[in-house]
Amino acid sequence: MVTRRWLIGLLLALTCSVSAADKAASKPDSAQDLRYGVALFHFFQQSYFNALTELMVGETVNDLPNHGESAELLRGGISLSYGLDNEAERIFNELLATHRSGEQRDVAWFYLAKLKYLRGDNSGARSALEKIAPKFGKKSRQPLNEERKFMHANLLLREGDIAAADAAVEDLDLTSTWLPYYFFNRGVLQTQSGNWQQGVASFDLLQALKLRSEEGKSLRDRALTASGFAYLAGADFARAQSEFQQVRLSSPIVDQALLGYGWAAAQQEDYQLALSPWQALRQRSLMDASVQESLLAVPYAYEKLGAQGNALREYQQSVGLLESELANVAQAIEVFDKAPVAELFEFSQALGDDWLTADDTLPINAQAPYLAHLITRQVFQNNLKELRELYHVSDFLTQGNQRLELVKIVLDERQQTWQRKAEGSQSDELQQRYDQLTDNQRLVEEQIAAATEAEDGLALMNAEELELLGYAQRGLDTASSLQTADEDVNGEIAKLELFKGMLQWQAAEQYVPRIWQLQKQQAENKKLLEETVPALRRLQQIVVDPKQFGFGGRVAGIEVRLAQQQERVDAEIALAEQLLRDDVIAELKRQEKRLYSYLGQAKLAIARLLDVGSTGLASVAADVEGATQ
Amino acid sequence: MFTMSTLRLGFVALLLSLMSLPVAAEVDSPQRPLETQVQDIKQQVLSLNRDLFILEEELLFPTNTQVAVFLSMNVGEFFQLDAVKLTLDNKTVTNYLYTERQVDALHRGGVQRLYMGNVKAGDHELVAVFTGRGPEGRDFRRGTTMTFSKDSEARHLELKIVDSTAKQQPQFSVKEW
Repeated sequence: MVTRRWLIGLLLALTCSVSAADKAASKPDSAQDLRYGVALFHFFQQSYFNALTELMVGETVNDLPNHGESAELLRGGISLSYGLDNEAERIFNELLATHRSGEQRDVAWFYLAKLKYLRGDNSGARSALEKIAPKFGKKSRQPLNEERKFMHANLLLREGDIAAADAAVEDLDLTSTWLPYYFFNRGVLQTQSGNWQQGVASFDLLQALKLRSEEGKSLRDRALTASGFAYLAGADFARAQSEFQQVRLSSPIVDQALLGYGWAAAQQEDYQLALSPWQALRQRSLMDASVQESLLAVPYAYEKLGAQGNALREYQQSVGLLESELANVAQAIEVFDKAPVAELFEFSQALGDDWLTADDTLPINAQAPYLAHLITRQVFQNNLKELRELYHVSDFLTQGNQRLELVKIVLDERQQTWQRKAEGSQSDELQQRYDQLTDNQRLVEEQIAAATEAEDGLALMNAEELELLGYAQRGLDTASSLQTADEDVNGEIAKLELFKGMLQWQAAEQYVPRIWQLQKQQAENKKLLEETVPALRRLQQIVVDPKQFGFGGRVAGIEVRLAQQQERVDAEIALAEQLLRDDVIAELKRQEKRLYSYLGQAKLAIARLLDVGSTGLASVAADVEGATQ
Repeated sequence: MFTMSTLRLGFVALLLSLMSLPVAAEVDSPQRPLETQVQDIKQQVLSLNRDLFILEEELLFPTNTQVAVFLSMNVGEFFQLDAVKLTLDNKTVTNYLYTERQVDALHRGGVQRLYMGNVKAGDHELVAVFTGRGPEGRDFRRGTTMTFSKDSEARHLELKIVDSTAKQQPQFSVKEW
C-alpha cells in the first residue's frame, strides 16, 4: 500500500532532480553550496532527519548563500515527508509572506494546498490551489502540476461534481501516476452513491491503463475486485466472474477475489465451480474474513451438490480449524498483552525514515499473520509509524549523549592545555611580549610626533649622523673661540658650515622615507598587539572561568535538553506502546468474536445435518465414514 | 444457514471494505494528540541535533585546522562507483564502500561529506583512488592527486566525478571551495 509520506517523498525527489530514466539525457543541477548538496545526499536516501539537520545547520551558520530560498522550500517539503506538518506549514506560510511572485511562491502554495487537502480542509485546499499561477506547468515542475490537477479533481469529486473533475484531469497523460488513482476514486464515489454501472465503468478505465509498477498492478487488482462485487450486486454474475478471474494470485486482495469468484459461480448454481476457489481459500490465513467465510461456504456448496456426508465432514473440519484458530488468537492476545512491544515488531533502519509496506516491516515471530492483517489498517499504520519514530528519536538521544561525552572529553583536554598555558611559562612569555610591544609602540609614537612637529628630519637622524652633526657643531664652536682670539679660521668655519649643512640637507631628504618606515613599524606593532591582547585575555580568563569561550555553557545546555527530551520520549513511547497494544488486542478480540460466530454456525449446521432425521441419518453416517477414511 | 439475503449483504460489506482502503493522497485522519506530540518531539530533537552538530564542528574541527573532503558525481554514465580510498599526507583517512542507494543519491545531485579532519597550516597532499566499473562494465581504478595549502580558514575540497563524452571516459577532478 502506498503511504502518504512515500508519495510526498517520491514527488519531492522528482522535483528536486531528474529521474533515473532520463538522467542520461539531462544532467542534474549541481549544488551551488556544499551543504545543500549534502542535504540532498541524505534526502535522496530518505534520511530526512539528517537532511533536515544539515539544512538547519546551514541556515544557522549562514552556509547556504546560493540556495537560501530553494533550501527553505526543500526544508518545507522534507518536513512534510518527515511528518512535521505543522513545521512545513509554518515554512510555507513564511515563504509566501516574503515572496510576492515567482515559482517558489507557486510551489509553496502547492504544498500548502496539499497539506490542507490531506487534512480534509477542502475549501482551504481549493483556495490555495487557485493561487498557483497558470504558467506553473513548465517542465521542471511537471510532476507537481500533474498532482495539482489530481488534487483539484479529487476536491471536485468530493463535492460530487464528476463532470468538472473529469475536466480537471482531461489533459493528464495516460501514463500519469495520478490517473489510475483518479479513476479509482471516481469509481468508489459512484459505487458508494449506488451507481454501480458507472462505478464499474470508472474501474474499467483504470484497468485499460498500462500499469507496470507493483503499486499500479495492486490498484488494478482492487479495481477488478470492486468491479466484481459491483457486478455481483447487480446480478451480472458472468461478468463478475470475469473480473475476479483477472486478479493476480499474488495480489494482497486475492482472498476477496477468490471468495467473490466462488459466490459468482454459486449464484449461477455452479457449486462445483464455486468449490475450487473456496477450497483454495481454506489453505490461507484464517485471519482474513474471506478465508473464515470459506469455512462455511465450502460445506454449503457440498450441501447444495447433495453431498451431505462431505458437507458434514467439512463442517467438522471447520469446527476443528476454528477451535484451533481461537486457541491461537487467545495465545496471541496473551502475547500482545504481556510481551514488550519492541520485540513484537521488526523496525528496519535500512529503510531510512520512510515507512513503506507491510512486507518491509513484518515482524518475525509467530504472531506475524495477525500483524500482516492489521498493518493494512491506516490507524494501525499511523500508531506503528509514530512508535517507530519515537524509537528512532530515542536512539538518537542515546547517540547524542555519547557524542556529547566525546565533546566533553575534548573540551576538558583543551581546558587542561589552556590551563597549563595560563599558569606556565607561556603566560609569562606572552606578558613579556605584550610589555615589549607596548614600550616599542610608545617610542615610535614619540618619534613620529617629534619629527612631525619639527618637520626638518633632524629628529629622525640615526646615531652615526647625530655623531657627525655633533663633530661639526663642536668644530664650529672651537673655530668661533679661535676667531675671538683673532685667529684666521674663516676657511675652516666655511668648510664646517658646509659639512653641517650637508648633514641637515641629507636629514631633510630622508624625512619622508624615514617617517614612512616608522609608521609602518607602528602599524606592525599595532597588529602584533591586537593578536597578543586577546590571547593574553583568554589566558587570564581561563584562570577565572574554567569553561572558556562559552563552550561549557553550551555543553551544559545540550546535556539538559537531551535529558528532558529523553524523559518526554520515554513517556510518549509508553503511551504509543499502550495504544498499539490496545489496538492489536481489540482487533484480535473482534477476530475472536467473529470466529465464535462462525464456530456457532458450523456447530448448528452439524447438528442440523445430524438431525436430518432418522430416515437420512444412516446414509449421512455412511457418507461421513466414507469421507473420513 | 447462508441465504441469498446474507450473501447480498456479504457482497456489499466486501465492496465497502474495498472502498474504505485508503488510496493515494486521500484524506488522512485529523491530527491526533499523539501525532502532535510526536511532531513536537521530532522538531525539538532536530533543533537539538543542529546545536550539537554545530558544537561538534566548532570544537572538534575548528576552522584554523579544519579540512573537509566532499564527493559529487555528474551523471556517471561511464563509471559505476564502488569505493573511494582517501589518503592525506601519505596516511589513509577514509576507505569508503558505496551502497546502491548512496550511488543513486550521488547520481541525482547529492554531495557526500566523505571526510572531515584537522591539519596544520601549510602545504598538504590529498590522493583519492576511485574503484568501480568503467565503460563497458570493465574494472576501473583511477587516482587523482592535489596539493593544497591550509591557512586559518576552513579548507573544503570537492572530488568530482564527471563524464567526458568526448573521451567516453569518466574524469576525476578536485575543486577547492
